[in-house]
Amino acid sequence: MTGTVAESRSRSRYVVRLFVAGDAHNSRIARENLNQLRDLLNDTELSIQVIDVEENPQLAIEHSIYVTPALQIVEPKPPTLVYGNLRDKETLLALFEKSGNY
Amino acid sequence: MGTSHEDLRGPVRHSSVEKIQTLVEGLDEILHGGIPKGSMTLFSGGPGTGKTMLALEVLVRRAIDGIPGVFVTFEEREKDLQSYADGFGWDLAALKEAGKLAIISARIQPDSILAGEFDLRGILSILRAQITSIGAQCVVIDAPDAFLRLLDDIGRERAELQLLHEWLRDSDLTSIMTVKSKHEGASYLHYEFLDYLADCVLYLDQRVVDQVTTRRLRVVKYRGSSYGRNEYPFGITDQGTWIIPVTQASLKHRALGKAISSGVPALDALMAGGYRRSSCTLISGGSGTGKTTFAASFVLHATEQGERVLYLDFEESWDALVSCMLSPGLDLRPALETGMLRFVSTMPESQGIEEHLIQAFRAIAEFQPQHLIVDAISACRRMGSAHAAFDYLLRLIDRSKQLGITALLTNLSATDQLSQEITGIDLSSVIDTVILLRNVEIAGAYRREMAIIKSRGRDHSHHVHPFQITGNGIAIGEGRAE
Repeated sequence: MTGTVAESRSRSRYVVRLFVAGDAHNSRIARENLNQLRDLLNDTELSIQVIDVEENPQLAIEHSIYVTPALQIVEPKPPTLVYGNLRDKETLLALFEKSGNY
Repeated sequence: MGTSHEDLRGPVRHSSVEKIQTLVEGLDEILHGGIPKGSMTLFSGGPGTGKTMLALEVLVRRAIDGIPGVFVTFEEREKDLQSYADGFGWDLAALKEAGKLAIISARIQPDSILAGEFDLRGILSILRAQITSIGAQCVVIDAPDAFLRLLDDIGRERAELQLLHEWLRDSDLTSIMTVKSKHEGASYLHYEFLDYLADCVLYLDQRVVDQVTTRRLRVVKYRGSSYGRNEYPFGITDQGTWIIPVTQASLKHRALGKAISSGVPALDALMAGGYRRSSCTLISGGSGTGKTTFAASFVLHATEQGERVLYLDFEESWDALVSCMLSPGLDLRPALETGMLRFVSTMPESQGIEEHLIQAFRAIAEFQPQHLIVDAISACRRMGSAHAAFDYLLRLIDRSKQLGITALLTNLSATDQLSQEITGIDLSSVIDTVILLRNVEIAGAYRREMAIIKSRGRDHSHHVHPFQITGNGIAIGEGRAE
């Protein structure tokens, strides 16, 4: 299973895809950090899809994501790609806020 | 220098490791068979030394042979690799289509944002999937340093590389990793530990000497195997990499063969029948002494016998040469028409010696001539230096002798003296026969003279002979002792 967590939520303000590699440290940390981030934002506003490249390498290839963990910010536009375990939450919040405010 | 004598003596080849061929021209010869199977080989070198291309070439050549491989690059975009490959006539798309090659460009997108640490776990999963999908045995990891540098933590970089190395080993994959090495002050020293991890390490570099750029390659280590220990110059051509190593295979020449007429019957009489097959003859003389006329006489005779002659021409355009030879009655046009004669005309300064050598070797491989003319070797100095000319000629003559090709060289000498001064490029060890030509002024008129000053292992005239260039070729007169 590809770990689709909450993609069905319609009309979310923020839509992201998190690419992780199984239970690798940085991937685990990235999941936790993203969950914390959702708590900081309004829960309904953030739609998260988690793709485990160990289970689904083809999807990673389709999206040209080879380095994990990586976060694709699909909405708001323009799409942004963030590499790393998302430790730096201020940067992330800034990315959401900045582009979400227009 | 590129032609150290160590290899000429022929070191013992030994190997306790299983190898796979790289299929790159000349490289397997240096590696005594190929790179170690199931181990990591490192291609190390400064920027622009050709590491990535050489690694790609190994995969492409193997893929063309039907053996699948995966190329992962952390530095190049796939379309850039594609355009390099196009330059060599390799159709990457077709190889991918056929399931013989997979390319993963895991380059960090420059407009992306870093927010915390990352690792190689994901790429390894994707790599594993690609390897399984095409059944690859060999994988190239190109420039992982470009990627890991973003970690900005030397300890972590090392740990990731070590992890990668262990993963490759555990997967029983044959791998090539390219990595930057120390270059002009820039320090990549913290990657030196990779030299210890890898079982086989190649250093690539390029240097400019006498305004000529030469690419060189050296095997630094090869665990469990012997290897060519020199620095080998190599060239990159429109068909990929060519390395023409002087190795222990060299100087295993065929014995000199039977005589073939020089095309000048009177000259044949002076040297026991003519030039010997597999031998190398030098015709040396000042300007206008008739060197090319002697060469053309031989070309005409040999091609009329149905033998192929390759003419490497450094002096003038081949059509000028052909029309000049009409006046002494030597019509080379029929030989050109029947394809028995082929010219390769090049300006010596137009390319480096490796490129000249590759051009000649390719022509020899394609045309398979019985005879080779080099006109004139004195022009080879213009390839860069006397040493460059020596290197070029030694390796060219060496190849001719191995293939049993009769080589005839002309040389423009600085002096008209019939002396031991031959070329200034000391090739005497590989030259079997030397004919000197000169013009002597006698009573206000010039007279042509020739002498055979060396003819290895055979009887020959020791006299100076007058000769004439007539409307019907060369005519040689009675000799006198000088």
